[in-house]
Amino acid sequence: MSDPDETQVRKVSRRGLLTAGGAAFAGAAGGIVLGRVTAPDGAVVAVEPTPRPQLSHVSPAGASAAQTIDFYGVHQAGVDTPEQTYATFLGLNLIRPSAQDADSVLRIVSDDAARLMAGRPSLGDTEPELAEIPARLSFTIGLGHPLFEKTGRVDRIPAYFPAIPAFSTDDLDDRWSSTDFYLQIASDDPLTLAHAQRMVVKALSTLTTVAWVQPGFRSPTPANEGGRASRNLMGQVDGTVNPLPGSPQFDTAVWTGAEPAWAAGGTVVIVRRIRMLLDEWDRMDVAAKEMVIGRRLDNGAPLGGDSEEDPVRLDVLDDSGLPVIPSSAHVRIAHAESDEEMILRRPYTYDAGFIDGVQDAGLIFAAYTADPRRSFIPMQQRLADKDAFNRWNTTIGSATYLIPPGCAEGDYIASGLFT
Amino acid sequence: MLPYLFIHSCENKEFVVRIRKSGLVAAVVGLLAIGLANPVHADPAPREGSECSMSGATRFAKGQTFICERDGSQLRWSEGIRRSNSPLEVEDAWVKVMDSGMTSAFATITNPTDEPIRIIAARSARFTPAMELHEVKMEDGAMQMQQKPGGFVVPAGETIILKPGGDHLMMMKIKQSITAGEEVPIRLITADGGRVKFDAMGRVFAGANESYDDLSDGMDQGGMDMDR
Repeated sequence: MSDPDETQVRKVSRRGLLTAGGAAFAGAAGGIVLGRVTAPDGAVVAVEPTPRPQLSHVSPAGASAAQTIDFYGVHQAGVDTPEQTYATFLGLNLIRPSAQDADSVLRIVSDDAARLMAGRPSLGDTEPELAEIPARLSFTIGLGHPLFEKTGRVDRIPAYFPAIPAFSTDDLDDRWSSTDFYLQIASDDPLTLAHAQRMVVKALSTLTTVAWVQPGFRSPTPANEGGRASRNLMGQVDGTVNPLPGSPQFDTAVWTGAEPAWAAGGTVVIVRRIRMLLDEWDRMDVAAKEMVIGRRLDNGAPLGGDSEEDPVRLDVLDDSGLPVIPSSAHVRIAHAESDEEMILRRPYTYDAGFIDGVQDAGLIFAAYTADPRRSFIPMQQRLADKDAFNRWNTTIGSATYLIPPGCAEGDYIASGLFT
Repeated sequence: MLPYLFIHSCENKEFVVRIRKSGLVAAVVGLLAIGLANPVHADPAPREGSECSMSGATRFAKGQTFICERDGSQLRWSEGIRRSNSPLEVEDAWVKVMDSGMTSAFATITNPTDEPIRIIAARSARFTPAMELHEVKMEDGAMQMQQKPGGFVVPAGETIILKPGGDHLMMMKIKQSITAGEEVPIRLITADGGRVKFDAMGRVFAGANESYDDLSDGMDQGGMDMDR
């Protein structure tokens, strides 16, 4: 492609074009961009490369355009998947309290997810072209307490999937609360994501209604390339202390145990919508901000440390005998003492405009855990009791879901639960 | 002869669905007759050449398949075709959800053999008394949906895609509603008696409107000028 002698017009297949497009992105630093047009007969034709100014930022969506994530597997995707740049969280409710409808929802979402994640159109896809760039698209399907209740299956709720209490610092709006179904749809390409969301919501339109949608985004810094965790709107490096996917620590912290068998290898997600009081935060100086969190803003290092990866040392004292990480600092109070206490933080930023002139922005804090009774709930209770950071954020929404395990090809998520 | 049969009888030009390119206006004829279709009576055991009552109906008897075909103005059972397993491979099968009336099914069909295979009938006994193999054809600037003469030929080693706006399986007068996510078992029957069975998933789909009611509704509201 970089050979100028091979630049004459020629027909290429769609699949070939996709590959070529990805290569063009990768090669953008070389100043060559491959154009494409559709001929009158509908055939896609590659045209002469046009020299363009060198791009200083190559979108990871471009780099990952052709990358796919497997839908089928022991676990569902979208949990141990390195965070995609965009994620949309949806709460769906059944129109009728019917177990058969619940089963149909799971069949449809699983079928759509498997196809779209593979970069193929869904069945009856009205815009199949928008499925051609998967860009690490993932679907994660969850089941809420209301679903178990309205389908007469409360006895199937695992003990590790309790209702999450409201905490004293919460100011919860019911509009973000638990629904029958949960979908986390994520991709590095926001148009791909929007298409996938539209296809599945449309496919479910006779079965479910959308109770809420929470679109989120983060910096395109792929965690799998050794970059630091993404920053949030307060500039904080967020999500450093996460178990490493594939490690025994991750398995203990995130994936549910052997009983009950139908849910083994799943997880529990708590989705909290945390509004940041950014205008109040602005009043603080950097040193004060760092004391509140217990980490440096410039590189995310814990106070007393040099780099983001350094361990959080809670016992280090300064010259005056006071802890370097203050007693009320966020990292101290959120600190997990064991693998069992850890959660997987998979936060996304939301920015939803202004309410009465005040910016409505913050975090969609998705926490994945094998058992919130030993991890999320005690941690959040400690934070509610003592965290200095509470003054600058308010949790306005909270929902929790059981994420069933993955499934084998030809099967669907939570098959058998509602039949 | 039931009035219902005329509706899908595409040799009968009077009832052909037309969509004019220019203004998306359908020439709709004889609408009322559809809803008043007579019930289909059970046919006696099929015999080659004996009368049948619904185009596209299939019957299995004595190890053979009989297909209800048009013969001039009459509907008659075809010769019996000995049953076998077809090598055709079917994937991506789906059917448009529908409460009643007719609906369409779609699939991707691959012929892995060295010989072309002709599909001449389809069957979904639980959901419909008869299925027809339809095509959508441009004629005189109008789009026509009609029974495809000779059925669907899948060339050797190739794949055909049944899709909205193209070749499709028409499910007549469905016996029960087809809901989203439902698995609808369908069987294709080939000219040499081969049969291939697959499940088509019920899918919500706004297009693929083939009943006159749907079309005329769509035309009345049709806000988009396709000529622009």
